[in-house]
Amino acid sequence: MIPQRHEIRQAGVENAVLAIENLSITYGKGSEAVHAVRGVTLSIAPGEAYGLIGESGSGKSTVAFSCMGHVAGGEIETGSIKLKGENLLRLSPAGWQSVRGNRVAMVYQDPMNALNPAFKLGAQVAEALIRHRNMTRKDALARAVELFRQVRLPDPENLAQRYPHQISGGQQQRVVIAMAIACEAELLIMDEPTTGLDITTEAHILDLIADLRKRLGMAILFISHNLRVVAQVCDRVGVLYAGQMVEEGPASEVLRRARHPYTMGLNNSLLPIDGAVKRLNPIPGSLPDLRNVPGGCIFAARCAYATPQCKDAVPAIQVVGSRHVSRCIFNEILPLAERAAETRKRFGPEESVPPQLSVVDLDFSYARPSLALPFLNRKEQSKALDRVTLAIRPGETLGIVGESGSGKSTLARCIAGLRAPTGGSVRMEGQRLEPLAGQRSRDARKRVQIVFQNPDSALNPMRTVGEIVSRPIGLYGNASGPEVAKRTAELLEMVNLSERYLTRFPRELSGGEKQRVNIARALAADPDIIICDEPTSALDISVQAAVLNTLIDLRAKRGVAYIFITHDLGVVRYIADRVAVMYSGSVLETGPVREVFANPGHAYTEMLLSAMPRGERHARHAPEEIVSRARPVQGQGCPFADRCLRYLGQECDAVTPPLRLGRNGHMVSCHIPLRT
Amino acid sequence: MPLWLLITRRIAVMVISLFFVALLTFLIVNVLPGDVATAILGDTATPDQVAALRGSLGLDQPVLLRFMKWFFDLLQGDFGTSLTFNRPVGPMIAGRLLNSATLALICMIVVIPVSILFGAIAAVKQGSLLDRAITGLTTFLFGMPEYVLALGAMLIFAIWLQWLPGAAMINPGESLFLHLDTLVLPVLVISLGGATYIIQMTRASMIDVLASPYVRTALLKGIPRWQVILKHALPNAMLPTLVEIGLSFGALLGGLVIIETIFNFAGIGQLMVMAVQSRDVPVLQACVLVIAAAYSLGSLLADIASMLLNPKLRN
Amino acid sequence: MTFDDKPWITQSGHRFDFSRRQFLRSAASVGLIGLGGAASVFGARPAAAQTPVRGGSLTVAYTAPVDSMDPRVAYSVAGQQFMGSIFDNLIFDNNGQLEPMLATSWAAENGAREWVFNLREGVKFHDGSDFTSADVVATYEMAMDKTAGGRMYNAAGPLSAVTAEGPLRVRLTYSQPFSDGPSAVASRFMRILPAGKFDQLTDHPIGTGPFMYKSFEPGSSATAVKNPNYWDPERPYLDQLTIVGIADSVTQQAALRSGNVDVLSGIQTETFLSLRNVSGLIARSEPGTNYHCLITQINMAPFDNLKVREAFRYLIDRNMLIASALLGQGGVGTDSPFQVTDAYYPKDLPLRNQDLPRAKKLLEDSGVGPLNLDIFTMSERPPSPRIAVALKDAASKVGIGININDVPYTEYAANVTRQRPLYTTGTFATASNLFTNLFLLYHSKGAVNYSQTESGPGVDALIEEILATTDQERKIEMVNEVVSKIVLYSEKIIPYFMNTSVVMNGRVQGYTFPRFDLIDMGRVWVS
Repeated sequence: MIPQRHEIRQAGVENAVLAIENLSITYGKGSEAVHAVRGVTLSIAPGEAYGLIGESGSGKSTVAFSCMGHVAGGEIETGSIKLKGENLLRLSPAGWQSVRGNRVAMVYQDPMNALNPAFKLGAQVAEALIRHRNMTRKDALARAVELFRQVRLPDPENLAQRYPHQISGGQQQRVVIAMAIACEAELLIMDEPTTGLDITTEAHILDLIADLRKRLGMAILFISHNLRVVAQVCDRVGVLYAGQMVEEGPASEVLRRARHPYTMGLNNSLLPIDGAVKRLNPIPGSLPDLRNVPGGCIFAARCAYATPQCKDAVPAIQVVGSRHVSRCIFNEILPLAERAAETRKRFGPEESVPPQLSVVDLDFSYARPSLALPFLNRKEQSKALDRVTLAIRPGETLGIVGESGSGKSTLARCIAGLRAPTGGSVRMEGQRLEPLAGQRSRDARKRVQIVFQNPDSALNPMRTVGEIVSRPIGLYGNASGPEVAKRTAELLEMVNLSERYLTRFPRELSGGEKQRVNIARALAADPDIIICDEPTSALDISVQAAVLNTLIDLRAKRGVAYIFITHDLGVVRYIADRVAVMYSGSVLETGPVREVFANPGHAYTEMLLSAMPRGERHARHAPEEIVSRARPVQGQGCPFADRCLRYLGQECDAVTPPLRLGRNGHMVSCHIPLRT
Repeated sequence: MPLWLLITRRIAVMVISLFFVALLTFLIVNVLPGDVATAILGDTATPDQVAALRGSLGLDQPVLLRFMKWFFDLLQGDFGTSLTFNRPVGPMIAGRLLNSATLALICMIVVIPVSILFGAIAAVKQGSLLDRAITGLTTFLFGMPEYVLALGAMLIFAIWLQWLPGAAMINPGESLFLHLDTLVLPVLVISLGGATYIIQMTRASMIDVLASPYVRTALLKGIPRWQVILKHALPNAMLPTLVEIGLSFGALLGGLVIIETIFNFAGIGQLMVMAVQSRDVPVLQACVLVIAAAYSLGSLLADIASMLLNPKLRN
Repeated sequence: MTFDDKPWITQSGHRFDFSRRQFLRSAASVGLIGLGGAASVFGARPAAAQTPVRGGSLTVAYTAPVDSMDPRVAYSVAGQQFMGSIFDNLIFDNNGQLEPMLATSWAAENGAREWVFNLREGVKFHDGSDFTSADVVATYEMAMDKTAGGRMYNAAGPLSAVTAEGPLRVRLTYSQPFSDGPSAVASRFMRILPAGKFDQLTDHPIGTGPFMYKSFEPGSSATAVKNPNYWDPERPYLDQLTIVGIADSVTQQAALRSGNVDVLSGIQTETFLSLRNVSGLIARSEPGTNYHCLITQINMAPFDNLKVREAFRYLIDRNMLIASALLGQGGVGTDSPFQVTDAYYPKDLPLRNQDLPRAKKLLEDSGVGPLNLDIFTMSERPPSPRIAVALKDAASKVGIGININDVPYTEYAANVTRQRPLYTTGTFATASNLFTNLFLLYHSKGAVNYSQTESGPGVDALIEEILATTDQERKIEMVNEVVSKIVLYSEKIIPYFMNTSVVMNGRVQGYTFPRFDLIDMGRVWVS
């Protein structure tokens, strides 16, 4: 591998806050060694936000952690990491201790786990101050409260005395950010800081980051797989593929005019911002085996434009624009070669078609778990579903969106018969179904199948793909004898898996492949309706695109209907015909996707829509949050009353909102009439 | 849930489960072949002698009637009279319980810090020679029945080396503390048995915690490693271990059956063995109740301790 | 916990290498059958040469602990030893030689149908009350009550009345002439209890013995202290006596070696062998009075057939069993309660041993079809399960199927004895009289004749006559006749006699070898 850094010396490298040069990191030894990062060079100027993107496994987190001197199990083979000119890789353990949390600080993915569950929040922030700023405990705690105020946490004094589990995910991430900015670090590293957060929370956190940057002027290394989020936050973006930097340039340019086929592939996997109905173009294949790095262009194997020439040598870094470089020999002709995306037909059934499955006034309450002794228990219940009424027509895709805790997964489980609702009913073609799947007829069970969010835990690790998929075929009597094998192969083909997969075990599959096996298994029963519970939220963007394509193709071929549950409005808009917006166990708005997205009737829907990332720097602002209103009592008034920007007053708190009807079955539950 | 409510509930659960434990024991003993009359009179007794003794001990009454009588006596604080020894069970069991509890407590005092220390060291030095030595030894000892350990320890320390007395000869009424040397071997054996489990538990949960994101957070805050281990990792790693320790206190009392018999230690386990063999139901009931209560109490204490350590459970 | 030292009642104390002449002389000198010579004393130094030292304490360990504070209930050797230290009998059975205890003299009247005892004067119970004939009457009246008498009931003999003749004279009347009366009175079960205080026994036993009750930890240990007002001012020498139960062999050894225990009594052969050569310890294993036997229940099929019973007598290889099960520490048994060296054993009776062809022939002659039997035994009484194993091996060679069932003691006592056709059991001499050693075991009304069937033609009548006769020559002749019948007819197959093993540390003095497993603790001292 030839270091290419001389060609990409850029303005400002000399006084860069962070300058990584030719960094190579290897995990393991000998023939099993994984060359996770190879020759990565990048620099971040003072006050600059630099985004590092790539699929999972591309090495972006390894780069981030190497800047903190924390490459667990890995070895830095070559290169340097300079912080304001000082090579961090030469630091002693004690030297690292004075850098970490002090000069370089980090914000992590999954804030719940990043905070120590046994410590009060204030103390966790104060710890770094006591360590690096020689503050007394009292002063450090006072400063922690001040920091909580800076990250706009409500009631900071009180919050400092609380524990991580007592606050929401968004608030936890704010605490982690407060911890990171406590010592006014020169470099802030953010590793997927919004992944896993609700869309509105994500918008708020991104807002906060932008705001802090403005006020504190710190350099940021921002790591994400979500290009739109990166583009919104960062000035410059580097694209990492299989441990190698393949493209780097100004954020908006890389997002709009990518000059490397990999970046283009990532862009093509993105759901259209405008809701255009076009087919996604995901990158085929998967990451190469980094134990045995192929020669030539590392991306050649998955590249639609690759020629034999590509495999000759590692392509040199080529300047393709102002501060824009690419490691592709064909970068000149790429923009011309880019295929126009096929448009995809949106086809929902007519309004007049009677529903196939309907949910009427469904209630679900959790009894508070008690240690024992029913007689010592007061009746304490919390409602996860409150009079939910929905219908789905044959071949239709119904999207259900909502933040975490909105009850959407509970709804899915009640429909599938995995949980018994405490009220209301599920009907199939007008016939009431038994609450639990075990009580339902085989035919009813066969007609409703479910695909879960986590593809790993849903597959029996001891069975082969062939066994997993063929089991429901026999179970529901759709085929027998040699027919089963034939049908299994067909099903795998339907989800774009070749027959080679029949004998593989789940552990040999990638996340996307596992999810496709799950879908194939659901299809094996030959169902009318498949409930998809967040089927793509654990997957990379390019994999998500492939899974979505699969689902859309299946619908076209088989006429199967989907109930598609997600927190991602982009996915709903892309795949669904109709959408139901859930909040706190209630459906606040339903209607055709186009109608709802174009003309949201409920303030909550509006809030969600405004929080969607648009891929432009500062293109969105987090919706205003109201923190002063009391949480409504369940079962009284509008559940959204405390956060509503259109709050009318007493009426919203006390009176259950009426159902307002719009065009094409658009319905909103609000005291304010629908605009038409 | 507030602490007092938890305690009240758990005690209520405990009382109810103790009742069923007692009933079950009563019924099981009744199903076992032979009763206290045959146990007292032995195999040379004639059937009419056995019948006569049975009558004078009231064993000819129906089981449930006998149980109810025993139960109502118990409600008045009367554990009944030993059928074999014709002595009140209460005082008989009190001294034994004191001995066993002292033994168990000494073991806990020895075991807890030592095994947490070793477990934590093994986890921190995971993969090192020290870790492999500790895990290897604990795995070896864990698979070994307690009586093998006991006999082995006795052979080595009491018979070959003659450093320590082999049997705990505690005369009735004498304080256990006059004979601390006799406690060394039983404590050693019980501690070895108990420590292996707690070491493995601590090691496993410490490894989990050390790999957790919040330990990484602390490290990347610039906190020195030893401080991270002591302050951030250990308290969290202790939580699952604590529950085990609480449960093991009851198990310890129950497990003393073997150790006490081998070391001839006048504790509750030895008494229970005797009560089973002689079908002395009132004594057996009392032993079983005491051990079951210790189980519940141990797990209650563990719950309270983990509540105090774990803020998630505190409210 | 093992039960190997539970006394399985009754067996003769006559044995070993005494010639018939010696036997007759000693029997004549006591006026009874008994053993000649002083009790053997162990230790390298002859105890008689030293003056006993007063003071000190002694701890004796048995395999099973003291089991009761009530002499009517106490059953384990430890329990009976402890009772023997708290209580006195009227007569002391010093290994077969009867010596005065609470009775200073005794005599037979009315053809040995009645026995009169003169009581010792000035004896006091531990609570200070006087010992009188009233206590003897109360004790013996209770012994005649089947329920209240407990173990006394069987040991008392054919007693029909007890009367006081003044405060220091008592008359025992038997339902038939009973020449063994004084020996029965010396039985370990016939302790004299304080009149009117029987109910307090379990709580705080009060006797006239050399030691006074101090404490009792059921299942573990019992402690007694010196009785300063003992009627023999010389004794006891010890200040304190503790009796403990230690079941495990390794623990026993550890306890003895660490000095926690001074004496191990009634231990298993393996324990004895491993301590035999340890310096500083005195270890003895001597022919004892314990034996194990195989019961073939006469009143049940197939053993109601004499030929089948006889066939079984030829199945077991007795010498092999002594070598393997007793590691050589025992003597051969010939289905008689008396060993072959005993005067009671007929000189001309051939020894019996394994003879498979003969057994096979007997089975064929019996007319009983192929046999498949369950045998019951218990590991708590080692090494009796080895009998079952030896039987099974031999039986398979003659085409009998044997299925071994090892059951716990209490279940065994409840469901096996007297209820199954084939099982092992154990027997243990508690006194040297023929009432316990013949009547109880072989008379059809004997409590330990499990089949409750006559043990041979005319055996019942012979035993009754033996009990009545006072003529020693005649008695021996009749016993010989009974023995020659029971070795053929009775339910009991006795393959071996076990040695008694004792190990003690060198400071223990005056500890006589326990021929009946009990010794007089009042005579023991420590140097």
